[in-house]
Amino acid sequence: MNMQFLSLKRKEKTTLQKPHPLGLGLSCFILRSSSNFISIHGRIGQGREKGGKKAGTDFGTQALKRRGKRSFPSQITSLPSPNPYPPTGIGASTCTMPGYYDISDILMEDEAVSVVFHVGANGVGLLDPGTETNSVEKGAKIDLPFWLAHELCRRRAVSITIPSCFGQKMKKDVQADAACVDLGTRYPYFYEFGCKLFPLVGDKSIGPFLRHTFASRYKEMLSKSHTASLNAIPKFVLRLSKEEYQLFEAARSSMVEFKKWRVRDLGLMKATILGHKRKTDLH
Amino acid sequence: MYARRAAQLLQELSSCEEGQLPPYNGDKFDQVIRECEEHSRQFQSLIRDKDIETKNEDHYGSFIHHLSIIRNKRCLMAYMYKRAEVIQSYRWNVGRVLPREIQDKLNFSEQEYFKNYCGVIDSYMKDLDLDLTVDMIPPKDPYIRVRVLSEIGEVSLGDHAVSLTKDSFHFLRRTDAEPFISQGLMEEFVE
Repeated sequence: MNMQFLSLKRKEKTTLQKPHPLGLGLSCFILRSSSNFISIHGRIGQGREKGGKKAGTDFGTQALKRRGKRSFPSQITSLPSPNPYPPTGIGASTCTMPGYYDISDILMEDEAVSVVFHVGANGVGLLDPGTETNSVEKGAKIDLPFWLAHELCRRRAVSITIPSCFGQKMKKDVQADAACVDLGTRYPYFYEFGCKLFPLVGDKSIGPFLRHTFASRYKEMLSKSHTASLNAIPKFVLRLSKEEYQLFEAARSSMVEFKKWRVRDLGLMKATILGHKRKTDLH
Repeated sequence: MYARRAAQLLQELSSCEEGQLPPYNGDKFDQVIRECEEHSRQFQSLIRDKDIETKNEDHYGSFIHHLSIIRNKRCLMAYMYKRAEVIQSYRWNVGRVLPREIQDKLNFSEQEYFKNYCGVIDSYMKDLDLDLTVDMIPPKDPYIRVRVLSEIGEVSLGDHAVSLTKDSFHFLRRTDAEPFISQGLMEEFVE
């Protein structure tokens, strides 16, 4: 009678040795997120080689498209994408550039850059607060919004000086500790702005610098975003730029969906196998 | 000048939460339009009687004014487009009748847009003979317990009339109760 009881116990133990299915799922998920990181990595690398191909705003949608087969419910496809407008209207159906109506793109182009005029310009005295006549002199150094500087640079009327956010001090900060650099308050459009500025300025090191910054910050962000709680906003979120914040939100909402999926159709009942205590192996 | 006010309009719009609208800022909108007119006047004065090909200083000045007008136009268009999108989403999320707080935020022409959009959707649904605004997932139970929040009065639902007085409980069909719940006049009673 005792022997039978012992053999029964042993059988129970062996059934408990199966790996927990949810643990597998979680590690799959983390693997997929890191493969997304590699694909994002590749896109910024493309930007550097092709010289100005925009990789900035497209992190979310491209990463989602690369996920392929999933073992998770299809609710994850409803993640927010960086371009909030459906592909209709001007310039948005097939290309991945932000559309004409994209508000974050418009606000990003409003950033100020310092330019040096190669030519004079009449009738635009309001641009230069120091001028008496209603015109801008040749050789004047003025702060213009980026959309204006971009167009004038294309027509070789001005030349753009690199703003401080890509300068030596920033490079030193990033080398010291990239994750602590406060992009959220100082330069929320850091990556997009860099991608757009890159072809206009002669400095070839901006591309690799952007990639290096993103790569170093992504490591910490990946782990923190998946474990962040829903209600409290962790302090490090305030340091994220706009694109990083979208990635963070995507990770957070996918964790919410995952948790919902775990308890689907079970109501709030815990599966009985989770309640079993693991008996220690006496052998 | 130089599209700073237009950018402020867009800042206002983007600082709202997703799916919400700030009140229509007609004053700033008109100011931006006046700025465009000012730019246009300056542009006219700079290219008067000039040969377009010579790249002298007037040319660049007029070019800057031209770019400012294009930029203002883009900002205003994006403003209207974003608001139109949110109004469209109201039809799907909130319903045919908008609550007072939302209606106050809309311009007169935006309210007209909402009415026309509702009309288009309704005629489309009538052609299909299908109601597209209900939930995609069928509910577990066709009936629902509701509690009435504000006085509605006598309503005829199907073949019988129900008197919906404040704080009364009813056991209604889900499709009948849903329009009242979306307007906020009823709530689902969960034990």
